[in-house]
Amino acid sequence: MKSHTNEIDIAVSTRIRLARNISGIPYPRKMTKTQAQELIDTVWSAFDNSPLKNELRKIEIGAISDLEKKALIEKHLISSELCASKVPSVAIISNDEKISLMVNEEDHLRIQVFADGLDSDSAYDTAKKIETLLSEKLTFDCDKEFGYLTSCPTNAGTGLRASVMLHLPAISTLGQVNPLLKWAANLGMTVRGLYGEGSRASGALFQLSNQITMGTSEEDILSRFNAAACSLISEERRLSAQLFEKNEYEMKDKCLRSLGILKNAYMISSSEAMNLVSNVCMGANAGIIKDIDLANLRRGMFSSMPATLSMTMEKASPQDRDVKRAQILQGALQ
Amino acid sequence: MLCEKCGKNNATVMYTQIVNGKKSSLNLCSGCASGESLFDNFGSLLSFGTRPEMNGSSCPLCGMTLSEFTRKGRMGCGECYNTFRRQATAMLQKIHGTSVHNVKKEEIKEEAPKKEKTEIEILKEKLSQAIASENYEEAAKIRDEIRSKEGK
Repeated sequence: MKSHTNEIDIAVSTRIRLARNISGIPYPRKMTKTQAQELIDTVWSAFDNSPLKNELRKIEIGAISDLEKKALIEKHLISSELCASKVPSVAIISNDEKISLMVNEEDHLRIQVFADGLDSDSAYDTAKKIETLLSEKLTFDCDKEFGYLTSCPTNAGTGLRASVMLHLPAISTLGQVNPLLKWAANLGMTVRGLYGEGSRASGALFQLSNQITMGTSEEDILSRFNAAACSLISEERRLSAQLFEKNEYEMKDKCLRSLGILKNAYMISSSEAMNLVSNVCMGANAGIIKDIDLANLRRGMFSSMPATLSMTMEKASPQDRDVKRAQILQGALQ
Repeated sequence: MLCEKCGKNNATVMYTQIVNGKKSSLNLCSGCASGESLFDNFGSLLSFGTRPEMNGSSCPLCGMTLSEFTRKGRMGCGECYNTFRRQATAMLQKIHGTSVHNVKKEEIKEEAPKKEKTEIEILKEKLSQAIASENYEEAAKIRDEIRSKEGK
């Protein structure tokens, strides 16, 4: 099997999230509108002397349309909780969409950094740099015994949540999802669907993240997280090889048939796109489909999610979107 | 017997819960028993067996009460962790298997060995670095320096 940088054959993207709160101010659910606005202003001004400022834009959640919110949620840049905030809330997002800082979500600050494939180290470095920059203007609430304090005790201690989006078609085809959940729980990890808690795993995409955030250092959390992700990736590769060996014809047919549809269909719905892309990626990893840029194809899939796609079109009906989606995916295959 | 939740009506229903082999029960009136589920959220872990009169304390910074905290399982501010320290400790232990993060310990661990290093140890480190980078001329100098210092 070919080796890939950051395991991008299976790992789609990594996210590091640091939750931080400011001493002496109630959490967003209890704070006043004035306190919320003051916090936003302080956070935004903390970037004034940083070269980062030119790459960041501040999005006031109360000032954007529902469609824009949905598009940002689809891209995992903001959460629905941020949109539901009763006090002013903002997202500070970098132009390349690798950094998203949510202010006044469940916690005062949620620093999120994304990286391609499995790459928690570089994302963590960036998150820490932002944390350091902000700590010059703000005092984070840190208890001698409990560590960093957060609105929900499930995040207290380090406030660090590392997660990686994994494409696990063999594990889900072979009905191994339930054993996977148990395995993850034993390691202090959790596995969820594409859009977090309770969401379905469309396109065989799952999120692995650390459950425990307290009593251990951030470095330790990351190394355990990486070890879990790596063993899950090798298990997927092993099962995939097994699947293709036992059911060679069916598997080849499934992958190539999906490629045929992706290449030729005039309209593709978003859920169909996720399944087709999943099959094509699986075929590419098994060496059945050649000359495909996996990262490009996945980018095509994510950029053609309903709300994200609607943002690029004027007055588009669902059918118009399906036509456009088919074109985008065909472009990504070339 | 009076209902242990509202403390007004006669208890007619007994709820029993077994956690880690530990059995606990709660006597309720039919009104309280038919209300929201008692055991389905974080809060239930803490409020269970807590009498209404014990829920009186509230956080001086955000006004969060113990009953609100146990119902929602969320803190209202950092001060809540102090106000409801005992409950917070129990909850953190349940979630993370520990309630002690001890950030300071990590920092001390990193700094302490540096202070204890002697001059000779530093030179020895330099020596192995010089050897690793095949800088033998430099290595010889460092070796001689170590020898002269050890000879003292």
